[in-house]
Amino acid sequence: MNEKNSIGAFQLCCLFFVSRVLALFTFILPESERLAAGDRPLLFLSFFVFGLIVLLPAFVLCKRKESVFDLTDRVSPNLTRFCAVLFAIGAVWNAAVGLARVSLFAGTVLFEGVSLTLPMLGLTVSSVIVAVKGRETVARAAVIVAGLLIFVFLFVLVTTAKDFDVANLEPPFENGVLSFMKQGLLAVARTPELGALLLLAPNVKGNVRKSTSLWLLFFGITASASFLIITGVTGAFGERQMFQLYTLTTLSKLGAMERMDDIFAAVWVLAALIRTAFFLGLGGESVTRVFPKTSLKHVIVILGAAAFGLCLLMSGSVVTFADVLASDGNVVMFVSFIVLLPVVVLIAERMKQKRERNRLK
Amino acid sequence: MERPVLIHADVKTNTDELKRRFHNSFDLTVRELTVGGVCAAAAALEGMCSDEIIAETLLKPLTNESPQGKTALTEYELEARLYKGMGVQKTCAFDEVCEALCRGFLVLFLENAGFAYLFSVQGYPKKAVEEPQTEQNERGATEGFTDTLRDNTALLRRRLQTPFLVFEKLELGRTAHTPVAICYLSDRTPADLLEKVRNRLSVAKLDTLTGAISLRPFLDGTPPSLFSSTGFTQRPDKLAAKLTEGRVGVLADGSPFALIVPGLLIDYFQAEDDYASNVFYSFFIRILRAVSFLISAALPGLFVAVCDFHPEALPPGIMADIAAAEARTPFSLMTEALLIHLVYEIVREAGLRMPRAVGHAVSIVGALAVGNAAVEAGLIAAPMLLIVALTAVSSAVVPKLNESVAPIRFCLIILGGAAGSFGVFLGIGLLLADVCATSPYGIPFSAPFSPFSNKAQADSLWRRNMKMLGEIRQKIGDLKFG
Repeated sequence: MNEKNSIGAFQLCCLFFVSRVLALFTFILPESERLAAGDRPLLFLSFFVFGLIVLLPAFVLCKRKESVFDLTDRVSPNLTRFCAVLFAIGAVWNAAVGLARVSLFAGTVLFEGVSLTLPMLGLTVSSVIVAVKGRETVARAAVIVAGLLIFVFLFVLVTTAKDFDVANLEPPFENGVLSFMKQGLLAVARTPELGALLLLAPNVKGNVRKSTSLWLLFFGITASASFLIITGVTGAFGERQMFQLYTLTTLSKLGAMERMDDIFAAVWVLAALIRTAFFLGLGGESVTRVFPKTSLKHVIVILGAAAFGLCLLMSGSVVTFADVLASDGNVVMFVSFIVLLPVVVLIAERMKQKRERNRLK
Repeated sequence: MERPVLIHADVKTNTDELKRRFHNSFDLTVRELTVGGVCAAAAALEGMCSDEIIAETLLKPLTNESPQGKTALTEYELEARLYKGMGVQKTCAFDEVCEALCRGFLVLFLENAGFAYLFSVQGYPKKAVEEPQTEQNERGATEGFTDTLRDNTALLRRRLQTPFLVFEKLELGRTAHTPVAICYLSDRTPADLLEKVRNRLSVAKLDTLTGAISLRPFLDGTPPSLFSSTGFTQRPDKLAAKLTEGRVGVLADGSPFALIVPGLLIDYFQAEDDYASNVFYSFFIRILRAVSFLISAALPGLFVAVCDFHPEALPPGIMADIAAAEARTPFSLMTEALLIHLVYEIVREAGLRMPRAVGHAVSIVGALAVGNAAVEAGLIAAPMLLIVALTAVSSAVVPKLNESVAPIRFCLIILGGAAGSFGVFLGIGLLLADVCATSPYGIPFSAPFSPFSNKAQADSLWRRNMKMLGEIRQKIGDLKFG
């Protein structure tokens, strides 16, 4: 294990939390996928269960202290190169999605009617700088940002709880248990961080299985609590808002300070910075797996430029972006590379070992 | 390799060589004398030796008539007299003689000896032990380091009376040959940390060493950061406490500051007085220091961002007052903030460099006259002046961080003026990454918060009471890689 590039399990969970919180704050879904309000508070249950199932291959890798590339290497080096390229594309895609989320959110809320190319370029350049500093740096910063985000979350939840109206809540499973299960499954499929564990497995210290399971539960509860408060406080009005958690922050006030939503929103910039840097770093490491002699710094800069370009394309329209996020392609990619690939490679490796054992006998 | 020049048997030749080497410098004094019937010469650099010690302990017993009357003393008899009262070394190399003279030794050449005696009679003028000016304390110890290395090692030894305290001496500065001491507790300091410090100091290529602080860039490592991961102190009690955690200290002759390696961000928010207060007050005061640091770095930038981009964040009454005040000034809020902070930095620098009495006057003139006049002339709005005052007072709470905070403040003002809170938080994010990336000795600058160390929380922002703190042996090595 590369001690210098290793991070702790707790740091990894903070990294995942920060990355997910950005998605939660800039939560956009097309009308066709609106969650039933009654199901939302319980969503963490199905998210937790399906998340654990999806993580099983990653847990096997963590136990063996191997990355998915170490596995594919044993099957075929060409397969490693192919997977590395796809993982790099996936990482850039996720970095771009994060940037596009911020761009759309900032364009709608912070700088209405202003061109966001320069601020987004600033964010991308900053993310590249942070990514170049290394995974350890990103992970350490994530711990502090996670603390800040939890504080902001609690502040918003506590200060808005007084407006909570039980009448706004709806009974769960209105659309049936299957629909509830499907939403949980989709929520997991839209969590690309789970795939990152396949690459990071040999570089994470501590009890990864326990920490990641706790993270799944903690994040699920955070998301469910947010949805519960959003529904309870904003009711049908919130339902029609594009960024529902942001709408909740606009209602948060303390004494003379009545509108701190823009400040809170800016805190999410930190989350975007961490998330983009994390995915750019992962993408860079995947590329250097294919081209070992290439400088990681240069690769990250190129990937950053690619992510910025993609972000500009995606953030043109909220409707297009929501459709891109909700496309089945995302789910297919997730299942193929994060669930099926490691399972198939693990089985292939097991069969190969068995064959060799039989030959020796 | 050049062969060393050896000491001649003839005293005259030796003294001539010495004068040649020192280019007849006026402070080199050579006195011819007779020791036990043998021709001799004593040489020293004026002002570097104690005249009293030379007269009483050295020359008096040496120049006394030998007991046998006219016969010369044997070498054994001579040395018996010499070794009576002080440290004496013998050397045959002329280079060593010159080095010893520069350090305040007295050199004695004897006819036909072929070697020289070096007497440790240093007595150069030095500053007395005083209370440190840069780290005032309310209830703690009042002694501070002086400019003399020997005194400083003694001050430290008095606080750590253990054979595990080790001072390793080295010389730095190709011309100055300044003595530098690496100090550590051999039973607590990680070997790799010590090795890294030795290596980094050994490659420090300097002509002269103006002070221990000059060594910080060599100890900080790469890439360069806004924050130095080498701490410094003027207090022997603080250095002693840090050494017990397994850190390494570096002392240099001619400097009242000791370097602490590695330094952590949390160190800046701790003071020795905290341990003399109760735990609740020390927690409060440490939080206050951290908040002051944040205010001094980010408040002007946030103020510009909020007023320019997010006025709804402020209560309407306050916002209206600010808007009214700003309407009377010719500059944009960002320009105003940059200008007034530039003026503040000029006044601060002037107050620091001027003689103390004048410095105070400059500060008062700067603060009252210039500030008041600028507001009355309508160049600066009163709220901005208030922000500067708050920033200035806050930066004085953690003065050691001032050199890092000043550039950050200007950057955040520009970011706040250009992109509002988005820009300010982007800047803060980069700053955070810079803090988290700093780890020149494998011990993260951001520890014990990130990576989080539960054990180290016993004395971070929160401090446990002394009874419990005594039971927990904090070690810097525990913070490695989280």
